[in-house]
Amino acid sequence: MINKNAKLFACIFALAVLFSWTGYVAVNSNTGETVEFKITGYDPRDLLSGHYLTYTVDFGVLESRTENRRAYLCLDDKTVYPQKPSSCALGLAGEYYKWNKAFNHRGIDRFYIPEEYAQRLDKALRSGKHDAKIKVLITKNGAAYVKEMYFDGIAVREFAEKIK
Amino acid sequence: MSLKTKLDDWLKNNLITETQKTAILDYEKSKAAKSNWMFYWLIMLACLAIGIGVISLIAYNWWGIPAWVKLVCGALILIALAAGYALFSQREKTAPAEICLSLLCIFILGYIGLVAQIFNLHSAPHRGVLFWVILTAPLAFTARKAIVPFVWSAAFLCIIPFELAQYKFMETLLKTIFTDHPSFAGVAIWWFAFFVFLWRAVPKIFYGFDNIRRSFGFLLGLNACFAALFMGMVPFLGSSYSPDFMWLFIFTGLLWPAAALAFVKKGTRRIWFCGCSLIWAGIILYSSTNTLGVFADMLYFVLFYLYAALYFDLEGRKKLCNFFLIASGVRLIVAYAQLSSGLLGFGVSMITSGVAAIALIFAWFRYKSTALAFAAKLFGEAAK
Repeated sequence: MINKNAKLFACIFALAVLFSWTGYVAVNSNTGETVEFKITGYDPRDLLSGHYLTYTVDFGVLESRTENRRAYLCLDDKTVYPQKPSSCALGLAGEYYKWNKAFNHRGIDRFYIPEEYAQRLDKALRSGKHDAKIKVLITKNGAAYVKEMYFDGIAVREFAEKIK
Repeated sequence: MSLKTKLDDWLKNNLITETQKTAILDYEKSKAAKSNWMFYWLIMLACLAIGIGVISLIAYNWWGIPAWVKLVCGALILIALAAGYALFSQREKTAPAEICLSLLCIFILGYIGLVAQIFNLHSAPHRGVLFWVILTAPLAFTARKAIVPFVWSAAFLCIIPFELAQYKFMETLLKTIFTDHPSFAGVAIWWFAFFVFLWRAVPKIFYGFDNIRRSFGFLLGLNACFAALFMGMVPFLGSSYSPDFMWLFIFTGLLWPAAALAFVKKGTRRIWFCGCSLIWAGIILYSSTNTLGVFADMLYFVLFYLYAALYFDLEGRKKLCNFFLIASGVRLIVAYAQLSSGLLGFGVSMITSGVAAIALIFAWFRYKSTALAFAAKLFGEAAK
C-alpha cells in the first residue's frame, strides 16, 4: 500500500518543477538583447508540438578562430571562437562546422505556426522569393529565444493573413 | 460507507478480528480486480483518446488565444487533475484516481509541448520525453494499476538509446551497425539481442517482476520501445522517415505477438513469437499504410483482433479475449485519426468521444443490472 503522502508529494513535485520551468522560460525569454538574422527554410512538422517552420539561420560569420565542433560566436565582431572571449558582450554558444564554415545554435531554428497557415508559409519560405528574418532575444548567459518571424519586413501573422 | 470504513467500525466494536478484516479486504480486492479488469481497460482507452485529442489541439497551435491564457488554462487543468488524484486516493476510490493520474501524465506531456510551442523552444527530439519521464517518475511509482508504469517504462526505455546516442561512442556504434551491416537480417539480430536483454534483464534489475500480468504490461511497453526505436533508426537505413500514424500502426501490429509472448511459457515458443515480432515490424515498416486504403486497413486489423478475441473467449482465456477487444479499439482510434482532415476537428472529436465514452462506461457499469432488467422486460428472456 502506497503512502498517501507519497502521492501528494508526487503531484506537487511534478507540478512544482513544471511550473518553475515554465516561469523560468517565461522570464528568461524576456530579458536580453534582440538581434535579427536572415533565414532560409525547409521541413515543417512535430507530432507533439504541432506545425512549425524549420530554417537555416544565416549568422553572418566573418571569421573563425577555431576548428572545434563546440564553439562560441561573438556577435560583436561576427567571429567564431573556441570559447567565449572576455571582451565579447553578446554572443551564442553552439556548433561550428568547418567543412562549410557554418555556425549553428540549436534551439532557434524553428518557429511554431498554426496548422491552417503551415503549408503556405512553408511554401513562401522555401520559394526564396521573400526576405525572411527572425528576431532573436539573447540573454546574458547565452540562451536564445525566437521572438518573431518576418517576411519582407511584415510580421509572420500579418503575412500569413495577407497570402491567405 | 466504504467497505474499509465498515470493517474498521466492526473491528472497533469487536465484531471481527484484525485477521478477518485483512482476509475480507484481500478477498474483495482480488474479486474487484478480476471483475473490473475490462472496466479499467475501457477507461484507459477513453483516456488515451482524450490525451491524443489534447495533443492534437496543442499541435493545431492557434494564434487567436493569448499565450498567458493558454498557459493558465493548462496549469488549472493540471492542478485540478492532481487534486483529483490526491483526493480520490485519500478516499480509496481507485478507478477515478487512476483516471486522474493517467490524464495528469498525458496533460504534463501536453503542457511541455505547449510551453515549447509558445516560447519556440527546440531541443533534441527525445529531451522533451526525458523531461516528462523525470517529472512523472514519482507519479508512475505511486500508481495502483499497471497502465501508467507501463507507459512510463516504455518512454524511459525509449529514451535511453537516444540519450546515449548523444555521446560519440554510441553514435559511432549505431552508425557502424546500420551503415556497415544494412541487411534486414543484421538489423533484426541486433534488435533481437537488444529486445531479449531488455525483456530478461531490465524487469529483474529494476522491478523484480514475477507476476505474469505485470510482465505482460511490461512486454507491451518493450514492444512499443522496440517499434519506436526501429522507426527512429529508419534514417540510418536510408529510407524515408515519417513518424505519423506509422508508429501507432506498428504498435498495434506488435500487440498480437507481444500478448502471445507474455502468456506462453515454453522457451522455444517465446523465441518463435520474438521472431514474429521482428517480422511483423519489418513487413509493416516497409509497406505503405495506405496500400489497402484507410477502411480496408482498419477492417483487416479490427477483424484480426476480433477473431483473436473470439478464439480466446472460446478457449476460456478471458484476459486475452479482453485484451484483443481493446486492441481492436486502439486500431479503431488509429482509423478515426486517419479519417480526420485537420488537427482541430480531430482533437475536438477525440476529446468529446473520450469524455462520452467515460460517461457511457461509468453508466454501464453503474446501471448494468437495471439496464439488463429493462432489456429483459422489453425483449423477454432472450435478451438475458
